[in-house]
Amino acid sequence: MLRVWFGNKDSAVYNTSVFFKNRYEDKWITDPFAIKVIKDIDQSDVIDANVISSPVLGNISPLQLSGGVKALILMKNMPGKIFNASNCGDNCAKWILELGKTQTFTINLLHVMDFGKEEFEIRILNDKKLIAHDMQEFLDAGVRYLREEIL
Amino acid sequence: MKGIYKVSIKNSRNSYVFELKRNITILCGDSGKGKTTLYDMIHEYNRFGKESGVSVSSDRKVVAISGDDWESDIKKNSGSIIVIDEDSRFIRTVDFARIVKESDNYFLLITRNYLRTLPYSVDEIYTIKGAKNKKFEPVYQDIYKMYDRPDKNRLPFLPEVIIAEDSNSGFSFFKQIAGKNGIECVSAQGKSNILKMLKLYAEKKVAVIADGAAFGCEISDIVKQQELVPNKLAIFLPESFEWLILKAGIINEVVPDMIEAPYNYADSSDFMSWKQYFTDLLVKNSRKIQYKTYSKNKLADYYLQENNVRQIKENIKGMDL
Repeated sequence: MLRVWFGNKDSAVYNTSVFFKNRYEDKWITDPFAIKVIKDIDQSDVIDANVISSPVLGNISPLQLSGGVKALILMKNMPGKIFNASNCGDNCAKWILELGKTQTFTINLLHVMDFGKEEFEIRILNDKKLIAHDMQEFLDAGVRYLREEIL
Repeated sequence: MKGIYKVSIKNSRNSYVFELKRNITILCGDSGKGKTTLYDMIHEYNRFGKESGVSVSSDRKVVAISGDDWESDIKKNSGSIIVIDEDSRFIRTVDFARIVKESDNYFLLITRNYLRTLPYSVDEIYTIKGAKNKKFEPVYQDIYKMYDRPDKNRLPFLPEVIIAEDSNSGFSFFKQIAGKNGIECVSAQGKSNILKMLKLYAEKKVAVIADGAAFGCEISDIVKQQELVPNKLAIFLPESFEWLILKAGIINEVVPDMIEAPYNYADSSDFMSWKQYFTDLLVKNSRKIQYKTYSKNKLADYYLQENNVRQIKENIKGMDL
């Protein structure tokens, strides 16, 4: 199940690109999930674990993937860690929901991500009893907890 | 710092061209569009100059900033365009807002975060469009300052309830004209309360009125709410209530260019947003004639006179008031 913490979370990895650079493994890049998100979000093709073919940048290393893709790959492969998903655009939302169908993990949001018009189940950890079932409930929770946060 | 600055950044694979005209500009949008690539190119140019292979063209120095020394780095680069990427946690802090307020810089912030400490404009939130040749495109678009991309055929919008961000002069004005049309008008007592107040009027057709010049942090969520209740929520975001008065031409003492081209006058060292600039402009010019004297706390009768109300409403074409 997907779990969300709205607002600052000390234990969360905020700078996902630096964390990815130092911790990613080759097999994460050639994994079917990574191949799909790299194609969908960065419009790029995985050639092998070290080479990705980008239509704009040419052949690139995994370190040059977009911030959103790096965060998604981290969520998939390190579900025990909390990652900042505000580094992900709304085009990452469907992939986060898909991961939530097969594994339990927590993301940290500093904005209200748009999870689309379909129904879903997201546990809001700011209030452990709360489960958002659609975008209205999710927006209500995000509005509340982000505006109540003490900076 | 004031004025419009065109910035061009290029290497063999990417070209970015954009203009900045206020002290805070936000760059957001989908992943994979080249936001971090833009930041990296500027950062490499800062480190290696022309030897980086990146070319940067701008009338002001463009500086990429990150890391723990952000505060001193900003202070060292007064008069520059400061670019900050989404991996910088400090942009949410009160300290960063203070530095922005004190500084003589323009800031380009790459972020999706809810930044309630920064009064940025709904019109200065951009996303990147284009493959190799990239440009900035506004995320939110208006007709008559009605957001976001309203159906022109459905304007003017006739609300049953108006929720005003303001609680003072602006609220007094809208309460009077709404009351004459049998429309309820309530104050949210601040922009961050508007979405919570909308829940109280979930069954009604509601118009939200707020100061667009400083409403940037709220626009994303309120547009999401608008999408969830089709045709029931209108969002009217003039630069500010003071801007509406100035645009109406009822304060003849103001040089028109100061209203039409605020980027040439609103120095970021003096004003954190154009909202403050327009308030200052109205206050200083209206007090030349006593009965016109404008105060944010209490609206002078002059602004509620029938002729003047009609003039102000000329710039509220998107609502049936």
